[in-house]
Amino acid sequence: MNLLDSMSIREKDLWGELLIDVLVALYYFPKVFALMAQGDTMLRGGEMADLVISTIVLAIVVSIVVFGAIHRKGEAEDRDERDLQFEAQGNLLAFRVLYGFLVLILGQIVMWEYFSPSDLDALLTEAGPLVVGHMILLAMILTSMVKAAVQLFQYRRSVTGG
Amino acid sequence: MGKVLPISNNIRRLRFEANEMTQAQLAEKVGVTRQTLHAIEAAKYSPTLELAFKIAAVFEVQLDEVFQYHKQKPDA
Repeated sequence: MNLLDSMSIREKDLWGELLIDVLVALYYFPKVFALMAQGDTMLRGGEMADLVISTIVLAIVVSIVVFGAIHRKGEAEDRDERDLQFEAQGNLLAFRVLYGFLVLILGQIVMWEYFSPSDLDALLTEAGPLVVGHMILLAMILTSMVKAAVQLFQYRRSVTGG
Repeated sequence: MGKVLPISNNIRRLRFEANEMTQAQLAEKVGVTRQTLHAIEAAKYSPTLELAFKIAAVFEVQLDEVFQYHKQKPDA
């Protein structure tokens, strides 16, 4: 059984989800961090709006291409017990990862409130909520990656036994 | 190499004896994907009890004629 034959539709979908998460993260967050470094007005300006729109377009285009290729034969597949078991394992670890990120974010908010470096004062005062929002968004994307990765690891292990 | 499951099976032989039933055909009969059935047959995935009984019912044999449990030796 070659590599693609060894993958169910569900597993191929997960590879697609992971690929999209990685591409979106690699495209979006470096640019956002660069805008943050320029000061708070950049987070509210046209550049930010352009970045959001271009990221959404990128995600949609890549999704159409990737999932179109995966489902080109029109195959449909209900989740079976193995899919549900692996999904539950992915959800469990993803929940713990997300919880950890939220604790870190809360801790960072407290740190900023009482110990913020002076060079961050303007950014945090004017765009603090946006900064926190981006931290939460980053946590959500990383959690989604973890969920997909855990499931994919289980799928591959159930094929190779490694 | 990875964890060795303590359950082996005769699914491949039973499929051959059942008019050379394919993995896809058996998978469809018991309601799982072909890949899941392949993983079960290769002893890389342990099915639920319900699925194990369904597989046995397809071949019209008892459960222990399909799956065999090998008690693992405790670690020294």
